[in-house]
Parts: sequence; C-alpha cells; structure tokens
Amino acid sequence: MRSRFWLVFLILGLKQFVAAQEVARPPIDVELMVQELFAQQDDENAIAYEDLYENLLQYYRQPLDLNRASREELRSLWLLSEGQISALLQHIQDNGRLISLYELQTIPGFDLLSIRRLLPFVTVQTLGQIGQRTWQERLKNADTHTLLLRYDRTLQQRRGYTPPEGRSMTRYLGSPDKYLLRYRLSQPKDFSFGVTAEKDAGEAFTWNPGQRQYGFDFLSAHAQLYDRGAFKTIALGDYQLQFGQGLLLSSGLGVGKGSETITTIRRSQLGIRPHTSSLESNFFRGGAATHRWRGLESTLFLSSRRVDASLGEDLAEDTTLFTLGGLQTSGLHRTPTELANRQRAREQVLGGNITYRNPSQTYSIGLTAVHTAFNLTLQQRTEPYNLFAFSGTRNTAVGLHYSYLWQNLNFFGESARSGNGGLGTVNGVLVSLSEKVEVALVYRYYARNFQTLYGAAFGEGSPNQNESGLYTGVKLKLGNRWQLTGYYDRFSFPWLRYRIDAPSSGEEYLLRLQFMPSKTTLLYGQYQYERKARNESIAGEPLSQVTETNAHRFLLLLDVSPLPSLRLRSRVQASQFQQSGPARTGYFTAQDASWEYNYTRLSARYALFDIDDYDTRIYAPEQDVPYAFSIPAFSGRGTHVYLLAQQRLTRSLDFWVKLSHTHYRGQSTVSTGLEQINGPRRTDVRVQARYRF
Amino acid sequence: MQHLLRVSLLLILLFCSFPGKGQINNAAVGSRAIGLGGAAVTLPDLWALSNNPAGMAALKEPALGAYAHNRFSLKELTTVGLLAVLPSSRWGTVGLDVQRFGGEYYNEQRLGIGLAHQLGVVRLGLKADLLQVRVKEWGSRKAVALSLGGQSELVPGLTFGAHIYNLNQAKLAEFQDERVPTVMKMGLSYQASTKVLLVAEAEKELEHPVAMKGGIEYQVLPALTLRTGFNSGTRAGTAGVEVSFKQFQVAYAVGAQHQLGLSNYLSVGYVLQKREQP
Repeated sequence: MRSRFWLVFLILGLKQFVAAQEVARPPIDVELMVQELFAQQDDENAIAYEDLYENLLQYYRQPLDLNRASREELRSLWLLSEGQISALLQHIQDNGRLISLYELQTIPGFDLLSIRRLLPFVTVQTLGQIGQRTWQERLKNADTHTLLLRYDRTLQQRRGYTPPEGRSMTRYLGSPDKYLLRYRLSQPKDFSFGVTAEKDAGEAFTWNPGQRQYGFDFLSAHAQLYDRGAFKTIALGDYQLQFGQGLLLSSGLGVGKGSETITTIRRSQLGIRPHTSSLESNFFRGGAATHRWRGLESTLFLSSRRVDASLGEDLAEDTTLFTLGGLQTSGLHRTPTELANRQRAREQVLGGNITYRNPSQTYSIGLTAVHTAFNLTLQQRTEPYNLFAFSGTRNTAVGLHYSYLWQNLNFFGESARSGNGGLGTVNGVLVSLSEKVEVALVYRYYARNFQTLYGAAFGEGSPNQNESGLYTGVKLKLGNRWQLTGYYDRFSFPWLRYRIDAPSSGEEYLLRLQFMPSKTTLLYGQYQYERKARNESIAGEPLSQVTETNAHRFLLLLDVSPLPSLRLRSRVQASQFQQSGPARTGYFTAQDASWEYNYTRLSARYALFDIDDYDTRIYAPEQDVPYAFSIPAFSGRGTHVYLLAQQRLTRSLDFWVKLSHTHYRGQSTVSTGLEQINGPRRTDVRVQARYRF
Repeated sequence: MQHLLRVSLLLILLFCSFPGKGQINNAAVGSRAIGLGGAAVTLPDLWALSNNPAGMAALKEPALGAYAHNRFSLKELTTVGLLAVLPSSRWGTVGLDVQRFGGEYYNEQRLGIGLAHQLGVVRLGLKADLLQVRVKEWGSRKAVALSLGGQSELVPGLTFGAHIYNLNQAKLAEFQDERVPTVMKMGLSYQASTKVLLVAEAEKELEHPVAMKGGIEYQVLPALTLRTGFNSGTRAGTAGVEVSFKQFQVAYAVGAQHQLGLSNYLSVGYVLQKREQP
C-alpha cells in the first residue's frame, strides 16, 4: 500500500517535471535587464535604488500568464511593442489560448529576439479555472510558497562600530549584520500572503514596544485576494498603488529614461500590488479594494502608518507649535538621531480611483483622488529651493488620466492638481510606425508648486515638481541582427533646485547600437550625453555661480555563451565630466564568467577601474543573489572582484553565497564618516537561503 | 659620462609613465604582436603564451620560439626570451617561457608556465609567472603574478579576446605600495579576407590611462606577411615583416616613437612537425 502511494507520488512528480520541461524558463538576467531598462542612476535624490530595484524584481519574478494577461499587464512588462501586444491579443482571440510558448513564433511581429527577451517573464497555462478547486487545494498548490533568509556583512570594521572617540562620539547602536526574512505564499491572480522583516546594518535588535520596536527594525505583512466575485483585488496590510501615469500614485516601479527608449516611458496601471520588498518608504499600510462592474473599476484605499521625520528648526516665538523637518525615506535607524526620527509622524491617506475601460481595452479614462494628512506640521528646511515644497498638515490632490489606442498609436496622459493649486501634466504617444520603426513622444509640465507625495511620473527630477520637458525616443530594427535605439530629452527647471541656485535647463541624449550575430551572442555600444546646470563655487567669490556641466558616458558590452554551460561577458565603460576647468574621466573594464552545471551555478567578475572623482563615477550592475540587487558606484582606482555561488541542496532548498572585494590603490581609507574603513579594502559577504515548501 | 646619462635616462624611463610601460608589465611579445601595435589579445599563436595564454590552445603541434627586443637602441632596454608550447590531448596545451630584461644595474627575470584549453569555440588560458626584479646594490624581489585569458570566435572571422595579467596584484615592495602592474586587455580581430586581418584592442593598466591599439596584417604571398599598427599608450607607430620557410617563421618589427627613436624586434618561431610513421 505504502509503496503504491510512493509510486503514484513519483509518477505525479515526473509528470510535473515533464510538463515543466516544455520551454525551459531561463533565469532572469538582472544585470542585462538593468542595462536595458534603466538609465544611469542619479543620486541627486537619495532614493535607495537597491530597494527600488528589488521591488521591480519582485514584480518580475511572478511570470505573467500570456493566456490571461490583459493589455495593461502586457504593457507593464516593458518588453513588447504596442503592435506586438495587439497581434498577440488578436491571435488569442482568433485561435484560442496559446498551447505552448513555441506558438509565439507564429504571431506576426514576434521575432526571435523579442521572444527570447520575453521568455523569462512569461508562462502559458492552458488549465481551466482555478476557482473550481477548493481553498485547501489552492493553498497547497500555490505557485510560490517560499521562505527566504538573507544575511549581509562588511568584513572590515567601519568607524560606526568602533568605540567612541575623537570629535564625533556618535556610533551605531547595533551590529554590522544585516538580516532579511521573507515569507511568501502566492498564486498569480488568486491570492498573495507575505511577511517581510529586516534589520539593516547598524540597527539594533530590540524589543521595545514603547518605541514600537519589535525585534527587527522593519516589519511588513500583506494579504491580498484577487478575483473574488465583483472584487478584482482586496488588500490588507502593506500595499502599493499605481494608477494612470503615476503622477499621484506610483509605487516604486518608476522606470525612466534608459536604453529601452519606447516602452518604459509609459506607466501602466497596475492598481493595488502587495508591498513585499524591504523598501521602508513609499508604501501604504491599511486596506484597499478594487471593485469591478462591467468596464468600470473603482478602487478605494485607506492607509495609516507612522513615518520617519526629522525635527524641524525651532520657531522664533511660538513655542507651542511643533514642526517637523522633512520626511525621511532612507529607512535607516542606526544612530540615536536616526532612531529619534523613527516613526515620529503619523501619515494618513485616503483616496480612490475610478477607471473606465471599454471591453476591447483600447481606451480608458480615470479619475484619482488622494488626501493625505499628517498629525504634525511638516516644514521643509528653509532654503530657497524648498520654497514650493510641501509644508503643512494636509494635501488633497485630484488627477485625471487617459489612454487611447487608435491603430498603432497609443495616446496616454495624466493631469493633476495638488492641494495648493499646483498643476502637473504628462502626456505622450507611442507609435509603431511599422514593424521596424517605433517612436515615442512625451511632454511633461510640472509646475514649481505642484506637490505630489507618492508620484513618480516620467521626468528628469524625482519629485514631479518644477520641471517641463519634451522627450523623443526611437527604436529601429535594422534587419534581424541589428537594432538602433535612441532618445533625446530636453528639460528646464523654472525654479531653483538642490545645488542649483538659479532656474536652469538641460538636455540629454542616448544612442545604442545593438548587434546580435547569433542566438547566443550580443554585442552593443552605447553613448549617452547629459548637459545640466550646477552650482560652482569660485575661489574668492562669496556666491556660487550656476554653470553648466557636461557628462559623456560610453558603454561597450559583449555577451557570449560559447557553450550551453558557460557564459562570458566583457564590458568597457568610460565617462567624462566637465564643469568649468579640466575634464575628468573615468574608465571601468570588467570580465565576467558564469558557469552552470546541474544544480550549481558560479559567477565571477574581475574588474579594473580608474575613475577621477565622484562626478565621473561609473555604475556597473552585477549579478547578485535572487531578489537582491547591486549596482555599485565606482570612483577612485582599484580592482573589484566578486564570486557568486548557487547550490541547490535539496529539491526545496537553495543556497547562495556572494563575496565581493574591492581593493583601492593609493588611498588609505574607504568611504567617509561613520562608514569609513581604515585600509584600502572593502569585502562584503552575502548569504541567502531559500526554502520552497 | 655617457654611461651615467644612459642610466639616468633609464631611470626616467622606468619611473615616467608611458615609456615605462615596457616591463614587469606584460609587454607584447613576438614581432607579430609588436608589428600590430601590440594588439595581440585575440591572436592564436605561439607568442600567445605571453600575450594571452588562451591563444596557444589553437596550436596543433609543439612549437618553440625565441625573441630579442631592443628599445630605442639602448642596450639596457633589451628583452630576450624563449618559449615552448606543447599541445597534449590530456592536459590541454602547456607552455613554458623565460624572459630577461635589462642590464647590469636593473634587470627583470620571468619564468612562466601556462595552460590552455579549447572548449567548443572558446579558448581559455591560465598562466603563472614568477617575476624577479634586481636592482644592483638594492637587492632583488620576487613575486608571482597570475593571469587569465579567453578568446572566442563570435561569428566566423570575428574573434574576441580578453586577458587579465596579474589578477592577484602581486606586491613588490611595501614602499609606496609598489605592485606589479595589473593589466586588463580586451580586443576584437576581424579576418576581413584570407589575406587581411584587422585587430583592435583596449588595454588598461590599473595605474595608467587606457591605451588603444590597432593593426593590419596583410599576407602578400603565402610566405610573406606585412604588418602595421599603432599604440596610443606608447605613442608609437609600428611596422613589421614576416617570412616563413619550412618550419620556421622569422619576423622583424620596428617601432617608431617620436621622442625616443626606433625600437627593433626580432623573433623566430619553429614548429615541430610530427614525423610520419613509416
């Protein structure tokens, strides 16, 4: 009896295995993806990019079922042109559900290159309704049921962990270890439950309910159900929202200008999504639901959570009024000051969205309203560039968004008005002129007093404020092997900005020529130019001047897989930066190799860099453990090496180790302030284990 | 007096950035490489043992080589070396080389052993060099430098090569953190026709600006090859000629540097042919 049970189990297991063999879903190549989708980072606005990307990765990890994907969802992959999406939907409508991913080759407009790009992110499921199964069954057979543990540490001692001495006595309160725990149980289009807990390096593990500290510094949980009767989504706990073009509500998926010049400039309406990353800002905590009635989708959400804020300056006479400085988004609580700022204010958000879509999803129109209230008065630092920044306790913003598809032209846009009367609008059109030519145009205008607290619509600056600009992008498929992409963007800032003490303007363009001589080889070269203004202090002059900066960036990348188990990647990156005075340059070159055998995967990089200063810094994305992300920024001179190993220990347990080491030449310390390391080296270790139930 | 001048010039060369690129650094070896401006990272030949060990995996027969390089007609700036490469079915291709540079007052020795494998369309190579620097009256230092190289044919005719020399950043002295240069080269070669080969390469030495190199090789007759190239790092133009007869290849190259004058390179390669079994 028992053996028979095992036999059945074995057969079932084998069957599953065979089914999964259909088209092997290649692993997501994060490094190439980043290189493709994103432009150069800019830490003008200190957003934790790592968390932002992690968020994006989370989104990508759940493969999209092509058979059940809506136009909106297909757009949100950023991989398909409007023409391809229409062709795919038409194909499904005419011939019924796709039986296999191989069928994609028969759809007009789907060339091998785009299919290969698409494969890691999609699946084809021909099974019937999941709703027919019972709850227990569905929970048991959830697509994702994992527990993930990650540990990070920098091996060298940083100043923040040494005993206090010298001028600054401030030290970190916790250990230099970073822990992340993530549990997730989910089934696409059915349900998602998850818990995330994180402790950053330098934060302390404490149980102090009075200070709202419960062990881990950051705790997050979510529960979401999809397609329950008339409700499309019901969310409890932590969630994110993205509506329209993201002018009012955009949840960490703001891909901007990059070498993908067409699809990434349009935001897609993803609605309510679970917040699963460890990003400690830009999410909502409470409840949200989307109701569907015919073509009308209405969303209502309510959020109340404590946010980090620094204490403002004392007011001159009125001492009864308590003001806050600015909201803080780093999510780091390592020093007494950071800890004091932790969860200082309460933020309450109430809002909703109504969107109407016609049955064939060719047009949509919607209205978004967001009301935010803080329990304390928010007051930005009194700097001229902050003159139009949000201050006060409440803000109500209302916006209208639309999308319209006519032939191969997709018009889209959103306009909004913030509580103080500031206006913002972003409008664009994507055109598939032919299978070989695609064009995108976006115009945005964000008044200097437009205030959006959760928005991240298309733009140069990261708050959508004080900016206007016109973007033009093209993509040319020059035959099967060659592709040329490029964009030109012109922008101006009518008011002052951080480190720019005058109204200013700038421009940026990029060109990338891509060559794919064979299925396993990719070669491309990219050039990017940016002109922007910035303060410059001149010796002997009391006021700094605003002058122009010119930045050039070059990238050459060769990716080749000579054997199925071996992948080699070489890159050369160079940068040049000039304000007034001599130009400074940077050069980075790296050789990567990754090797895969059965359940083992090894990747390594050796890199040399020689970069004059921080302005010429070079960002080089690298491989990392799944769900994590690293794009280190290099400046100085030295070598950088990393080794990443993955080993599947059992059917359900995977294990990763990453070691990265940077050795600087001609410098005796690395980093500054509390992060300073004595000596020219920095070594980081990252260990991750994933258990699949 | 003249001797003093020579020695001071030598010291200037050694401590001044660009001509100093000569040694301890893995300067290109073999007159073929030199004739092509030093752009040798993609070349599959005997000299690859020193230029990019991956390249020697392309050899079918054992081969021997000898070379003498003289820079700017100064006796003290002479490099001489010997190489031996042995392809074996079991171990891959094994190579051994020795090199000596310098004169009585300053000299460098190198003993290298390399190993290369052909995997499909990829050639991978590994090399360890034992380096010794001797400065008269200062004593000598030893260091081991590890190198890795790869070559791959992307599409027929188009070859990519990459090489990292001294990836372990071997240290020569504590004083000013003196290390053996770490050098990374990447390049492409394109066999435009059976007679014409184009090469291009970017070489980055950690502590010096990147150098661009390029060259053209033209096979006039089956036995006669002409070459020319440039190197932005040494700011030199080069030219070369190679004659092959029987199992010998004799190549000569000349490099012209505007300020310092001419350099001469001579190398001889010899391929051992398997004897026909009677």
